[in-house]
Amino acid sequence: MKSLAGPIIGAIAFALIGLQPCGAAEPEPKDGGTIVMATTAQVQGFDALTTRSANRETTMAGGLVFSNFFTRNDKGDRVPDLGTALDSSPDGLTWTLKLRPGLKFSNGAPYTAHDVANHFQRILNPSRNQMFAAATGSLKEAVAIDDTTVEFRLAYPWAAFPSIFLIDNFLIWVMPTEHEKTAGPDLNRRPIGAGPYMMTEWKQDDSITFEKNPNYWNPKAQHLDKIVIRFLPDPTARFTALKTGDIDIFYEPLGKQVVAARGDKGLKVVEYVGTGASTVNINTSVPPFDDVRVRQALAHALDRNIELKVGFDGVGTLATSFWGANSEWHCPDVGYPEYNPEKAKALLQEYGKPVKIVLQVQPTAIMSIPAQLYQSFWQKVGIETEIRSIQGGPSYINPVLRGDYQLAMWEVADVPDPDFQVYQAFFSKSGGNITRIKDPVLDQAIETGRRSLDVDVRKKAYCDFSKEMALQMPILLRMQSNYFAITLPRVHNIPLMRRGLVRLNEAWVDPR
Amino acid sequence: MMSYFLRKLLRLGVVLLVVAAASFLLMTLLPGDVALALLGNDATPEAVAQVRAELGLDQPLLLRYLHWLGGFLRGDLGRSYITQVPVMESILDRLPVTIELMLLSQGLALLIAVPAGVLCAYKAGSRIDQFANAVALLLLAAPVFILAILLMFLFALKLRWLPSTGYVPFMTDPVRNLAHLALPALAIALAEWPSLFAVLRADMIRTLQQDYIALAKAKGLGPAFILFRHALRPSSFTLVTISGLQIAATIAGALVVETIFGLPGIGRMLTGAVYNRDMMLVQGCVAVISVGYVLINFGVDLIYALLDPRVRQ
Amino acid sequence: MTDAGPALLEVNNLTTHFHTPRGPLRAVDGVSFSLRRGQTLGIVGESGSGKSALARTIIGILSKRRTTTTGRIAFEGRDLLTLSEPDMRDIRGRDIAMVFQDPTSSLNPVKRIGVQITEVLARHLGLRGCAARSRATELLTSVGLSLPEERLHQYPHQLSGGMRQRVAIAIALACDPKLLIADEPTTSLDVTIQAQILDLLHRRQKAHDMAMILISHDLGVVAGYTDAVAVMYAGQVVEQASTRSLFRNCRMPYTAALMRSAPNLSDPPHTRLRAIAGRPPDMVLPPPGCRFGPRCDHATDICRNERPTLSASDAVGAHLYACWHPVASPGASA
Repeated sequence: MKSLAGPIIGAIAFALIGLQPCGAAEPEPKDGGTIVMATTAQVQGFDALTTRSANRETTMAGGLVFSNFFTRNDKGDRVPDLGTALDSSPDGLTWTLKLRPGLKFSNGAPYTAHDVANHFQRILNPSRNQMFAAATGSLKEAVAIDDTTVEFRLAYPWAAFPSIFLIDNFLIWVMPTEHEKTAGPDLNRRPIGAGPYMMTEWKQDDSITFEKNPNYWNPKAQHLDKIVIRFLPDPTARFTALKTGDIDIFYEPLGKQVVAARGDKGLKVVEYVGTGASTVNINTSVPPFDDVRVRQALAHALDRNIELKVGFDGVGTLATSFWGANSEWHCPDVGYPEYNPEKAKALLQEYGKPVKIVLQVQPTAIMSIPAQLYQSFWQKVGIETEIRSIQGGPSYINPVLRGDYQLAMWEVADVPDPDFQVYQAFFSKSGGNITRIKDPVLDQAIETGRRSLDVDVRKKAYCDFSKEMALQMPILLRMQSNYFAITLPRVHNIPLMRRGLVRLNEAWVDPR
Repeated sequence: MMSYFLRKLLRLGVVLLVVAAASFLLMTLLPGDVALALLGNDATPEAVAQVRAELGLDQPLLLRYLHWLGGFLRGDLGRSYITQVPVMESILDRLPVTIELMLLSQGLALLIAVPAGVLCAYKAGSRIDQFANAVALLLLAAPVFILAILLMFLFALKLRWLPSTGYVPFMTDPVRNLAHLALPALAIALAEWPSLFAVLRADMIRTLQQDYIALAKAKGLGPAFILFRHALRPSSFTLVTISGLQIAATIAGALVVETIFGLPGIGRMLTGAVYNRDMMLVQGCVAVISVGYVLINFGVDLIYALLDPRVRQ
Repeated sequence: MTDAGPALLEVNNLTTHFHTPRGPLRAVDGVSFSLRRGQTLGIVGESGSGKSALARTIIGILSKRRTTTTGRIAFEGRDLLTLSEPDMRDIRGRDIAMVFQDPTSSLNPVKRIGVQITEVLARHLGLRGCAARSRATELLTSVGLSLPEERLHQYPHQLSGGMRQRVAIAIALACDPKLLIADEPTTSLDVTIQAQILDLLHRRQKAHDMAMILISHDLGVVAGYTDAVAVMYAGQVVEQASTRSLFRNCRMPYTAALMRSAPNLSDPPHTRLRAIAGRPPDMVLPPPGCRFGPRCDHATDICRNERPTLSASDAVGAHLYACWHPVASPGASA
């Protein structure tokens, strides 16, 4: 068994995820020009120890400056970037990363295995590590073997580990050792990376400008002279700015904007259905939700097609598990509760006590409108719902992490490996078990999925997981993670928006 | 005049000290541990203690206040816990945007409100007056974001006269700077002029019944001269008060307009800092905004004295 | 009353209505009189009798939208009511000037004295800068103010009431007007100052051969400084005569009542004034007959039903009154 582990792990690590047919053949790329992209939130910075987390905007900006060790093309194939190979020892405890020889940082300094090892050791520093405990999993240490070889040592085998090197991820943003040591508090705002673009100007609250990195290893892939990321928090303003040509692209449009843009020859819609879903978390540790019948009743009472129509303007796909039809982890029949108000009433009658609940949402249209729908559906089966509106950010997240909530609207992220989605949030002994579910069947499935190195075993485990979730209902599923961007027709070569990220690394534009 | 100025200046100093202490205490006494907010809820006690020591949170309150006040007086408000950027640097970045927006919008509002208020007071009860009052009432009821979006739709999207969003510093390109600020300033001005108009009109109608206006007429002076040279100044007290309040409110209150037009102003930064629990930044913003309020009030007091010689005594 | 050339001002059947929500308020109702250069006409009546409205109608500073004026005001032969507003503006302040009752409210509190004088010089005489300032200094000196140069830089609130009224007179006299309308110029002042101001007005009038309309509620004030007197009640002139004739031989019971109510210098201090009983009529809906009728001791049915006209009591036609039952004054019977 052990002798087989190596090649199998390779297969898992770069499994095809979110496979979609390619669009029409793209014309020859043109060089030059500028892309302006509007963002919905601000870039936090480029130093993991300072930012401690990375929102989507931060991840996109970092992707330009630091690029990746490996990327996936639209077919899901692994493409080497800063790295050329990643192999594991037969026991799965030691991984060896080979770097592309001759890499340079944008400031001209050589990019070596020592910089990579130094960066990981800095992140793994025990006094800070709790921030990244979930993300760094069983990783213990990183050691530079020579200038182009880094060895990663794990505490126990971890199937999802190679994914760290495959996705845009703030943990792998390696800066020159010298810079990390001397820049002090400015490190966060003065990134130096080996990616295709380098940051040239940061206007806080306004925009960040990137220009071509002259030291990038692959100049053929650098088409744009300049990329500007502009913070534009108002959704209507973003759409107007696109139509007036102030910006070239924005993501996370409103449903009605997608509908409008589809009928507008001057605009282009980019769409991607990822894994993950929008959800309503249920705190299973407090009454009445400690009774599974109440949780099931909540699900049966909802007509999700109405939500799709009203809350999302009919744009999107209803989720029955975290992995939709596009995903290789998709499980066709999980038995997610159908709309059946009579059944909901019967379950509540069986439960026997009146049910009054509090639903935590953010004051955004995408949450508050569906929340009101839920309220009225639940009203019909005799559940009284109070909607509690809390602005997004720590004040929204912390009560859920502490278990100080009843129901909360949430999002399960689109990530390349299911382990990231299920282990922390649903394993009974995990510190981040947000629904407080303690279910032996789920635990068994999660554990198997995490430890096994056999793809088929893992697929079956995650199928079991989805079916048990549909029975236990620790979360209500809403929409499959659908990602949209609207662009001007001049923008080309935007790859699949995995995790909702717009990757501009190899984009190009027609001249204005 | 000098003694009035000195008296006000002395009071200004005292108020500023109180404001500084209040903004420090406000943020310090708020519940919630900064270290926990930074490290997450799973943080070990040792890590929390280490971060608290790094931030100086383990020192006594008074010492921390004196330290903070010393920095405040030197213009050093510390560094943001979240981005590590010096707070003063962030504020100085945004302040020009906010001040420019504040002056432009209030200037525009006065430019609409003063002639309209004077004319309508002069022609009180006429068609023009009724029309202006109806428009003012309508705009007073319209939320500023509706005005902002309508203006953007009309001038940016349909007519393409002005850019829809964004900001260019004045020193980089004055023309583009004004083009970018025109719509935001107009949106605020449209929302603010009705109250200025209403108080000026009411005060002006009262002034126009005064004997000294009758005397001015009896001197053979023309209506424009009488309205602007005789009646406007004595009618401007409430106007100046409201204008001062509106200017002060624009420092932190232009949030909606800043958000829609993508302007990097203080209001948006403060809101962001609150959501991120970026206490140092919030504290710095609150201090600077409070100082702004106090300075504007000081300015309003000085304008009172300029308007009416009787105030100076 | 001796004739000396044509009348400077001839007011004919002048009517001024204020528009009110209840209907037109007849503030001035069919007033006629004439005035020659150098002459002073006193107008007396209780407050609300239309004296001030009459004054403001003549100088033309009532709001055109809120009042309607009919009749004729001939000034140097030109009908002021038919003049355009710009033409009228040229007359105001230059040919016809006015002094108001309370200098505290009639001087602009936020403008320096100097500016308030020089702006009228600039408007009508084109005087600016130094010339205007020296003329203003002269004017202040001529109305008896000390330290005139310094006064120019002062604000009204820095002066006493009497000084303020002197400033107001200086403003009125700035362009040597042909007609000065003084609307209760001493009412708001201390008794001791009143005589000084009246004397000042009188002196300036004589010096410039100016006609003056002196409005007062106080017959005592009018007595010493006027050539003729018109008594107004409820918007109408109810008795009009030379000053001497009126005081000797008043015919209208209202005039008699006014005379009785005037404080007498021979009275001991704190003597209660004999006020006229009752209140003036509603000027929107005045009584059909004699307007003073409801308050008059002599009133009969005819007074209540028919309006008396202003007519002459003697062959000369100089003493006019409107009354069905004129009083026979001691002077007349003698």
